[in-house]
Amino acid sequence: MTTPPSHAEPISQTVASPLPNAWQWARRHLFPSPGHTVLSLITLAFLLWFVPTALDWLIFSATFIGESQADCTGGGACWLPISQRIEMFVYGFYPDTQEWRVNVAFALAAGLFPLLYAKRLDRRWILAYLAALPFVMWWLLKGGAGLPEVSSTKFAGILVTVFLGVVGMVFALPLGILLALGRRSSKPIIKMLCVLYIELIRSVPVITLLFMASLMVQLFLPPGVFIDILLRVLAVLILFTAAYMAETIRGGLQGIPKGQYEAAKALGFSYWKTMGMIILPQVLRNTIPPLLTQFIGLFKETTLVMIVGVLDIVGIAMSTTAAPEWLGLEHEVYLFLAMFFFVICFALSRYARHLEKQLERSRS
Amino acid sequence: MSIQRLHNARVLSVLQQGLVLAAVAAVFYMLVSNVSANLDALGIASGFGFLNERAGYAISFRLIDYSPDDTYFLAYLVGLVNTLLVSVLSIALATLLGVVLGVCRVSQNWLIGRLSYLVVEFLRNVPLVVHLIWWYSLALALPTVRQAISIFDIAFLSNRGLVLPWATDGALIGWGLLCAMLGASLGYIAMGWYHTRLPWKGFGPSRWPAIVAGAVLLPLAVYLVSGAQWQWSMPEAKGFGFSGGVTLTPELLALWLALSVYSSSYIAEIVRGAIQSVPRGQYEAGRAVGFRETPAMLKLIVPQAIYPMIPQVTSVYLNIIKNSSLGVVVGYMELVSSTGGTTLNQTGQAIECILLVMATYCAFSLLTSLLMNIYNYRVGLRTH
Repeated sequence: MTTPPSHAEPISQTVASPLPNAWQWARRHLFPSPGHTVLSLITLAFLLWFVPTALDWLIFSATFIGESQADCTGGGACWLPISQRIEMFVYGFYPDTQEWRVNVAFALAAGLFPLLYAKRLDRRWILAYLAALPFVMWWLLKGGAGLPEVSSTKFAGILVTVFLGVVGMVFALPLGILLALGRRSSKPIIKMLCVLYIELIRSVPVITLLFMASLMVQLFLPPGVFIDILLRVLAVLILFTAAYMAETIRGGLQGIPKGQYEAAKALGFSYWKTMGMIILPQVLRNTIPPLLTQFIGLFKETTLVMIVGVLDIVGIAMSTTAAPEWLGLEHEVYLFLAMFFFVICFALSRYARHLEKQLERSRS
Repeated sequence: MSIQRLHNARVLSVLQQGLVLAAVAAVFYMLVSNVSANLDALGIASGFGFLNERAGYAISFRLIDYSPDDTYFLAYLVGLVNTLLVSVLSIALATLLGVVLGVCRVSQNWLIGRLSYLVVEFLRNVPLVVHLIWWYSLALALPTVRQAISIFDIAFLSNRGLVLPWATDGALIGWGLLCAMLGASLGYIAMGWYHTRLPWKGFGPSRWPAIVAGAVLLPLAVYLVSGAQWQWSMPEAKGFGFSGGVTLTPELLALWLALSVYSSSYIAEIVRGAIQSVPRGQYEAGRAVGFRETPAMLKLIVPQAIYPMIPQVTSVYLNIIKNSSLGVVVGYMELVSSTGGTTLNQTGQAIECILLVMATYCAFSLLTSLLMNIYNYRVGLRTH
């Protein structure tokens, strides 16, 4: 391949028309060689067929409004199982009159993410928000203390998915920090216990732990004591995520220069003061992007609770496709499910990437 | 710091650790005493004796002989083999797809790069469970046996799964694979020995022809010497099903494809990162001395990218093994759904069954990290 003469570029930049630039760009990025030209043309042809077909099925020929499957006559996707059951997907069996409580809980959970970005805000406010969030969410959803009580058997759908994800993350973080500190401790017994815990949890699939929560926990409790299945699977998700998080934070701890510890010691700081005021703030700031990635993992992992009978969004979707009136509409329902997770997880991963870039810039 | 204070700090540390240990022991003691009280109340005897009892449930997809009259232990082995089978199949397909997607991500072709970026992001941001139930619904929506999709009349795809030709005597394939692996290792070892005898390190012939030759020739030689008879069992449509051949059930197909496409997105990201971690100057220098684009990639970039990739890819492989436990969602009888599911429900031995399953997965992890440590040690030796 011959490269264009070096004086070609400045000339094309002086020309006001965007066309030569576009042509040059296309030559460089789409048709740099005969092989790439063929590849590009095949891909373009595929896209020219695929995108209109997909859009037609998804939107133009699709049915959005109607009562039952008989209304789906357009030949495209039939979105009725979702539009007719959207309340079920979002709120589960939650009482209609109390749905505002779920909305407030969602808003509080979503509010967490912009907070990570706010640099001007005092760190203590963020920590207070984090610490209060699970309890406020539980109070809002479950009721009591001024709100009418709602049985947790009525929790289902996105409500469960978001609750497990957010509350799981908030509790897993401190536990993960403690485990990471324990793993780097100079005290052999504490170190051994932490290593044992982290490695054991990381080497088994989550499903076995969820089975443990659903089938085994009852055997470990004194007779007569019963714990809500939702809280049991939440505990499993916390214990599981904490082990993975501990490894991320350990990585962050290893990145802190030794001089920081020595300086703290020279100033007479105790272990907990050194950690709490000097080391951990730096570690947490540096590990926010990987921790967000871990949150994405946890959010995806919450779908496994469906296996032990907790109805999260996947459980609702599966009960929808199994319902006689919506038979044969699996693709629409599963596509909705996939898009729900894709939009949230992709947005969060872009956000994590953005924070990472900012960190890199502030370091250099 | 005075000696007295140092002494105090040490006493404090010992005391602290003793307290933690005592607390952990107390919690364990409490749990165990609760368990024994609960088990007595339920009338369940603890211990692994139940493994020798008759299982009484059928497993439709299996590679080793098993009938409901066999023991729970054999059912566990069937599950173990099924876990390994779907893991190996998924690892192979995920690696293939992942490498292709990863290379496309760094392609200089803008269209291909963007498209594979979208595909990778879609695959990895959708939970595995969603992939799995979607693939399963697709597998069940295939045509019936009568209208089965024929692939050159030797394989058939229907809603009963994929039927492939197989040996009449299934054990022959197992022995063949074993011999092939042995032959490949022999070829590798022989070439290693030859390399050590060369005067100049690193300039010997490549190892792969000897490995391939070993993998092909040893099974062939054993086959000819042993006098075993190879017979193809071809699938034939009979009534509502197929006779002959081997059937990959829709559950296996769904789990295989779901695990493969989901994990391939992670492998693609690793491949992309590894290729991009090789300094661009390497590629440009290659082009400058006259390498074309593809050879520059294959001979200069890939060899440098592959070593840092291996630990990460191993962890993806380990995740594939762990994630194969999702077979329980579609009813593929692997470890969790055989021993952790049906056996547990029939016997009520929850603790033993779950411990057995967990211990098996732990063994996989330990084995993998052992191999990884050996590998790291050897690569460390080479680079230093």
